[in-house]
Amino acid sequence: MIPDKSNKDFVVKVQFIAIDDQGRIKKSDQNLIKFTEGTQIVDVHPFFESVITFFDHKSDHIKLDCVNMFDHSYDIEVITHKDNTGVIILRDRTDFYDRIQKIAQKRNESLIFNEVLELKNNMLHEKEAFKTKFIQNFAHEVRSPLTLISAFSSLLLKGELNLDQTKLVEAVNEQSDKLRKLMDDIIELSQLKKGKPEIINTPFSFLELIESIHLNFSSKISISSNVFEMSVSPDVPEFLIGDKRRIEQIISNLIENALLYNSGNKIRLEISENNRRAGKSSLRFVVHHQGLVPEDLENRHLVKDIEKIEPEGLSFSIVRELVDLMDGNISIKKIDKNSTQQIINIRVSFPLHNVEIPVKETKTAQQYNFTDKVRVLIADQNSTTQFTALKVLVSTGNFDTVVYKDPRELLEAVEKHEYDLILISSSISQIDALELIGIIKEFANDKNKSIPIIALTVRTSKEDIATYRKAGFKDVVKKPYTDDELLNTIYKRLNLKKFL
Amino acid sequence: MTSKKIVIVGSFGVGKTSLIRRFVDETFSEDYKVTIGVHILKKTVEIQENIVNLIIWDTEGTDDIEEIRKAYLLGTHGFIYVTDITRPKTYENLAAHKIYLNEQFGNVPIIAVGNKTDLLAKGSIAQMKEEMDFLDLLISAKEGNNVQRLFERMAKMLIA
Repeated sequence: MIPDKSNKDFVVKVQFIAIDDQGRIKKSDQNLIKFTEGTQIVDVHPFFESVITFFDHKSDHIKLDCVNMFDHSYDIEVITHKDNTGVIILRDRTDFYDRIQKIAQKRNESLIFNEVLELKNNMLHEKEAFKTKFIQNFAHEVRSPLTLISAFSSLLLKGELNLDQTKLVEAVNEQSDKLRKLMDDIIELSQLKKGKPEIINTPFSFLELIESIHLNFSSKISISSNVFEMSVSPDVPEFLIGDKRRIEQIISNLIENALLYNSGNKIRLEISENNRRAGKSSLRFVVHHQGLVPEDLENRHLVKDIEKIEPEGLSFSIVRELVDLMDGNISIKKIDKNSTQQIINIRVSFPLHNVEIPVKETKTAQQYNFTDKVRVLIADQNSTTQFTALKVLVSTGNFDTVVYKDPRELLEAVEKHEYDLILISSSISQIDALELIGIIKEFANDKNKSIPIIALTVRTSKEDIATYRKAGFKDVVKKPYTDDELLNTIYKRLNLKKFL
Repeated sequence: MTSKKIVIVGSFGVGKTSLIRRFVDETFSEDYKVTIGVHILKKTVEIQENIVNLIIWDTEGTDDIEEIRKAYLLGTHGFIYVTDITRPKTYENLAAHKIYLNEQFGNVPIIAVGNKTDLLAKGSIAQMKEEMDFLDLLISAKEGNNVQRLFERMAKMLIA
């Protein structure tokens, strides 16, 4: 085939330059670059300073592609002879390499962009992981003293105190409860932001729930000489299948917001049903109050960075995440210059047939007087939580307790002595509770191998509890706990008949 | 007067061309233009009363040093391996590439540099220097930091 001469790809201009044995230009056809015959080739361009070193009294043929000189790109051949003369051949391939350059430019820019993007993404993940780890460590450190404050103030309130003392301890108890809630909120929000939400769908009486909310807030709001009104539309389902705790959290937060920003004397909650579709009820909650909420409260859910959420907006941010999980939406409307409506719509399943609601567990621990004391081994290296558990158990008069903080002594004890119950903290002497239970099961005598072992831990997500159960723990008590929470769990897991 | 051939190698976008421009022309451009093939520039330096012509070969960026056209590397007296301190991919194969160059070119000096220190937060260069102790020098082609020192160090090694 005869090449089309109009296509520039096929018209490659060539120049031949003859070099003498002294490195001078002997002859050049001047097709591309004007050379003066007799001048040193090294003086033409720095490239030739390197090329001249190839002339070393030997025959050679060296090809160098895409050498850029004088704003052109050349493919160059250097032919050397034994007499130190030679020929340099230049081929002008500027058009071709310009095209290659454009392609490479796009490719490299895109690769660098992706590389930088990946780096930024990794940095964000690292930052997020650090933040989560920090929150976990912080929570872990704070929970131990908090456990002691909650449990001891609760114990004190059950004793005989005068009026002043009761008020003081009640204040301590109330503040520690608030602190517990704040801790739970921080951890919960970090979990929600990490995308690990836990929505537990179980049947419950919705009407009972809202009655209880009404009761709680009526008394709370009446303290500030305000009135709490609630209206429930008759078409609202009596029972729902959803996360009762989360729904209560959402409604309570709306009312608490109203209470916080209320400047009038009335707060009103309206509950109605928008529609029912595909086994789900779309429920609408509207809370009215006098006064305005901060302008940015509604948009605080847009703040993706936990660090930027102010404490009073923490619960609201959690609510926003929860509402999202329930296919819902949230809005705040200014009705006039001094009155506000907070509106939430969520979609929750409702039962198509009659449902059986599980019986509620009592919160306050049952009072028992054991005839035989329960022998309890506590494995905990943290003196604060160790002391808390010890004090809670001793206060009942039902337990004989022994504490170990050295794993070797602990293993010796479970081998030699008999116990009725073991309580293990998250870790002792760097040994994780999950590892420890495995070693206990291996070294314990036959009697101790069958007794209940309960974990006292801050790790209480669904996955964590499943892991503890799988490892052999009968139950898990979440830190910080109250005396009633600890005792209720223990009584639930013990064979009580044996001690009564 | 002696001439020494220095080849600048490293991944694409690390600033090899900018480094040479800063050293030879004392200029800098924010625009990134991909180098295809090789550009050759020259600068004369005086080191310990020796006049040295540095013939600097600016090669096109590649992640794999073996991809550089062999003919470009003939007669090389020294290598400058340029990395971008903000992109780990540009220095993750540095050790292996240095081994390759040593195997192919014997005792030819290699200076590994981390470019773009101007992108670091103020006061963090010392810490970065400790973290990146596998690099011989941290430089900034944009601001000119350590650029002169780099080529002078190379020239000293070449005339020693």
